[in-house]
Amino acid sequence: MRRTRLARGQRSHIATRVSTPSRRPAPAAQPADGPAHNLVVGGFAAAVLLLSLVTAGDAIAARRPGSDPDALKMLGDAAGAARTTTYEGTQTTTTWSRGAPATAQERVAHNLGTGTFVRGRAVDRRSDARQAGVEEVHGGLGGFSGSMLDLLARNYSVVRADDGSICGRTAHVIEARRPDGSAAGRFWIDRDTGLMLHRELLDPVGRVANVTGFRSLSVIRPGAGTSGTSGERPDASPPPGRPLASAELGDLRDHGWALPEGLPGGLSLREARRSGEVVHLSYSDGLSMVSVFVQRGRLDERRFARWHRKITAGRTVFQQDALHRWAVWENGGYVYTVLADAPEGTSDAIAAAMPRSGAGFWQRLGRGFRRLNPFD
Amino acid sequence: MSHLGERLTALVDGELGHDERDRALAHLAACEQCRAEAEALRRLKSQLRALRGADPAPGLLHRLDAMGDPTRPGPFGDPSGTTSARTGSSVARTGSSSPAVRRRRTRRPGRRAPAGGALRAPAVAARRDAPRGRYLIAGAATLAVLGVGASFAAGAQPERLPPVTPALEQFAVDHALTAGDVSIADPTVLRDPPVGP
Repeated sequence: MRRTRLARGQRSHIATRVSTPSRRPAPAAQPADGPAHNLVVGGFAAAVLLLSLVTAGDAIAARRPGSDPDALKMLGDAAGAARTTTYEGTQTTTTWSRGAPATAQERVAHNLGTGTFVRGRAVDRRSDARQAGVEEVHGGLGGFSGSMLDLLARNYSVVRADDGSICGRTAHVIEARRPDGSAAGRFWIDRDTGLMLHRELLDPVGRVANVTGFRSLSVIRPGAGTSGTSGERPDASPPPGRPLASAELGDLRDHGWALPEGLPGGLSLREARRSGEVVHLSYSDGLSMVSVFVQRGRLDERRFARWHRKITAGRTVFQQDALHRWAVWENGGYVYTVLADAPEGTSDAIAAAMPRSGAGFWQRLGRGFRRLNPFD
Repeated sequence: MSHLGERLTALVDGELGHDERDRALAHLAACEQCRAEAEALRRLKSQLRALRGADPAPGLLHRLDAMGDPTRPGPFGDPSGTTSARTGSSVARTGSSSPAVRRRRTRRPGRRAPAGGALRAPAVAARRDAPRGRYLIAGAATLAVLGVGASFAAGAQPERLPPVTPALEQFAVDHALTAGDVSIADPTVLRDPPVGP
């Protein structure tokens, strides 16, 4: 995998490859008049995002009105197309942080029956659902699973925009819009194969925060259909750890683990897994993907000496924005690691909103009693 | 004329018979010395009677009572109450208690049962037991508060936990697998070498 830091001109080069409808704020419209301006605008965007995340909360419980069923169907069918189409190409992922992009680029090949490979590495996951013939796809260019599509429709209005082109292919463009009408995400769906070709996440002020898409694509064999499952059994690594049931999560919470069901910005807990001593919580609002890893212990801060250090809600949070937005902190004998594919400021909001963990009154009392007990 | 002598004391105490008392009074009418001595004896007796009315402090009696073996009769009676059952009252048994002591006994609650029973009312018994009960409750509460406070303070420091370095590389892979992204590694993070101790 190759990673490059792109200058503005290079980024514009990518943007020129993306034919965008006139209604959306074009990525090329990013201000390019110096780092100071970027910092000011970036800070303002982060503040707006924080405000929107906090005010949005989990109050959005119902499906947003105004979603286009055709648009939702295209997003759902993209998952089937990703399974059944044989293709190869180059994918890039770019994340902007404080006006600076970080990009990774990989060769991707998908073969019907063997799965998706990145330079020889299989990244598809095997699960019980897959064994039953229903592949579980969560996001990215792999399309949307049913639950992810529900989350998307609950938090955003999903509508069609004008068609565009990308990688030399004609694409349907779909927008996910916030309640105020601003675009939060855009998707380019290949008109011929139904593959998702390109995906953008935008912050509340219209700046592109993250882009994932094909830079080049060769379709070797179109899929048999866009909505069916192929029954393929790719050789893939099983997901790490085991899923945690609600009762197990409740037990952990009773023992002081802070494992919230929701995070600011409509991020809902989708899945919880435990691998060894690490609990992995996956959150999403349909667009952004956030992982929170929780483990017992004291944070060894030496590893993060080069990271940005920030005080959030009284907690020392180590941050690093690269392809993903990282945030690490310790609270009450637990170490939290947040990894977000989300607009800037999301990790700040999560660190501020994460409930305090550690022993409550009775746990602390019991711990003290055990220490004082001479017969123990 | 011979004086009354010891009969004067008996006169003052009211212990003379009728005839002897008349003769003594006739002598006092004629003898100024005996009359003065009788007056002095009466004043002295009156003063002694007044002295008997002074009661000891209630707390002193309680403490003295508590110092004794609970199985033995205390200085003011049998705590088991059996004395009263046998003899009616310790006053009746000894026959030598002063009025002051008798009053004190009537105030003492009914571990003993005076013959009349009127002095052993439940309210009196409750007043007798109340201080000891309060002491017990106060003592238990103090111990409980001290125990809870000490345990809470001792539990303030978290348990000794091992230092943790999050496995960022593995987390990136786990995140990518969950998110369905192709880019499963974050080179910027992975290229950050661990800082040596």
